[in-house]
Amino acid sequence: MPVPASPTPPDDADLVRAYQGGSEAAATELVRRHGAPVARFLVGLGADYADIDDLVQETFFRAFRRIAGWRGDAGFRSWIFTIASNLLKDEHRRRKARRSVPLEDHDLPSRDNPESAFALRETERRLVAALQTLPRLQREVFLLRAQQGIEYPEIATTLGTTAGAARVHFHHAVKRLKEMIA
Amino acid sequence: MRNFWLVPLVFGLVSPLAAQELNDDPRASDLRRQIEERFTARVKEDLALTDQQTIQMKSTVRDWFLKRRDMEDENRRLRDAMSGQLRPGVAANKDSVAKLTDAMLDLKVRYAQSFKDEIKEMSGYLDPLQRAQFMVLRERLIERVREVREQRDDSTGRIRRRQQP
Amino acid sequence: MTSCEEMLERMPAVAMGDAQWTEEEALHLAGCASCQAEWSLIRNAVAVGSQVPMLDLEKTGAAVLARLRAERQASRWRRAGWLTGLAAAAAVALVVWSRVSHHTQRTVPEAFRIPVAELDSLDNGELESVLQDLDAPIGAGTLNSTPGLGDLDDVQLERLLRSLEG
Repeated sequence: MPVPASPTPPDDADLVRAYQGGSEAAATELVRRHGAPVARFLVGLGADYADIDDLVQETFFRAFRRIAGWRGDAGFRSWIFTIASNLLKDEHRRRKARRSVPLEDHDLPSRDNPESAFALRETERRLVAALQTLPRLQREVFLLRAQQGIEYPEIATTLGTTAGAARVHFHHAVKRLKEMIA
Repeated sequence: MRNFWLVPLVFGLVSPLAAQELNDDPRASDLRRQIEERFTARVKEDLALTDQQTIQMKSTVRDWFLKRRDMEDENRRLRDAMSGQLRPGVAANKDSVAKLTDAMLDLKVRYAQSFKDEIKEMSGYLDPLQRAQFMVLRERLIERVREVREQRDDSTGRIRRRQQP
Repeated sequence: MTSCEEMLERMPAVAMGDAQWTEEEALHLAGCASCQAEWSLIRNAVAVGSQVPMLDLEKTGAAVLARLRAERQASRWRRAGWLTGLAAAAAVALVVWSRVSHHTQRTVPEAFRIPVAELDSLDNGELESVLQDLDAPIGAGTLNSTPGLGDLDDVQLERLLRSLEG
């Protein structure tokens, strides 16, 4: 007797469409699916643990506001990562402006909450600190590839580069990080 | 006392909210009746409806009210089914979610279209200005209802009444 | 023979548990200090944030939806205007649709009374508030003097009528 195939679960595109049709349950499911990876990505970008809850919420709020902007060319999760990254950059700029520190390309994480640094293990903390010294594109390529396991074509679509360039950025990032952390 | 009829028209798309239960309190029934009677009287007065027009309008609004009530019931069933599919721990089915989504979107369009069709039906016995006037009056009442709803103090259930000029 | 570059490309998948080293790759890793350093780096990258405080994603989702609703409401209040462009019927319909996704037991009354389904979910206090506002003297309302329509110029009125006619 053949075993009936398990029903295929709805993918992100199905859920986005359902949300656009009026289903709030679909939106909740998207948050459930992608909330934790978004939080980890934000930590990798240098966000304080203390701010993670608010940052994750704000990321999804911005995403659903402009849900029509996701055309499905990159994965939904990758798209959310872009929003999270831009949000964190805005947040760092805002804090820097308050402290009257000139803007730099390397967006250093906030030092306002030194306790949060100890939530990371020492090796992770050193990696996050080293990541902050990389150019933004290299940092994000590294996290998308190494932390999130995303393939180069999708990274390329997400970050507006080519798959070949993304691969080069990743290898350069690995080389520099190895030198800094070794 | 603030004049309801001066509430400015505000438009916008809204997402469906969680299902609400009918307030079946006898006092509520009586209040709804009074509101609808006052509103109807205002419509008849402003549009200067003849007896014949009143009879025809009664038939139109009754028919479309019943059609929309059926659609509202259908929407509630679809939303419940979708929530059931997307419960934590439940293996949601892609095909089912897609079908439910299509159905919800179709229904949304049909519901919006029903108001337009209702007004078109009135073109058989109301002139364009009367139809426009009816739309404006109904929109304002609905807007006031929504305003009152949004003013509700969730923690106590009391209404924060608008400041009177 | 597996190169270091090929090893690096395989590391994220293996670190995330989506793949395993082949025997050849495991041998390469055991004997290559450079790859070992990169493997340590990639494993740390996967671990970053894995100890993030347990997020209550249900609560996050609910908060996001609440903010979206509040923003839509605020946007409606800012947007005041006449029936231009958007069909009046559709505008009213979508307003009603947002509120009336509940079951109503009411039947249409025999005497002529325009039913307003929106009222069904209001509590008694809210109904009283709406009733209080319906205080315009019945005799005072005429087509020309009703606030609003009389303010439209010919072009606006024409546009309104066209949008109603569909």
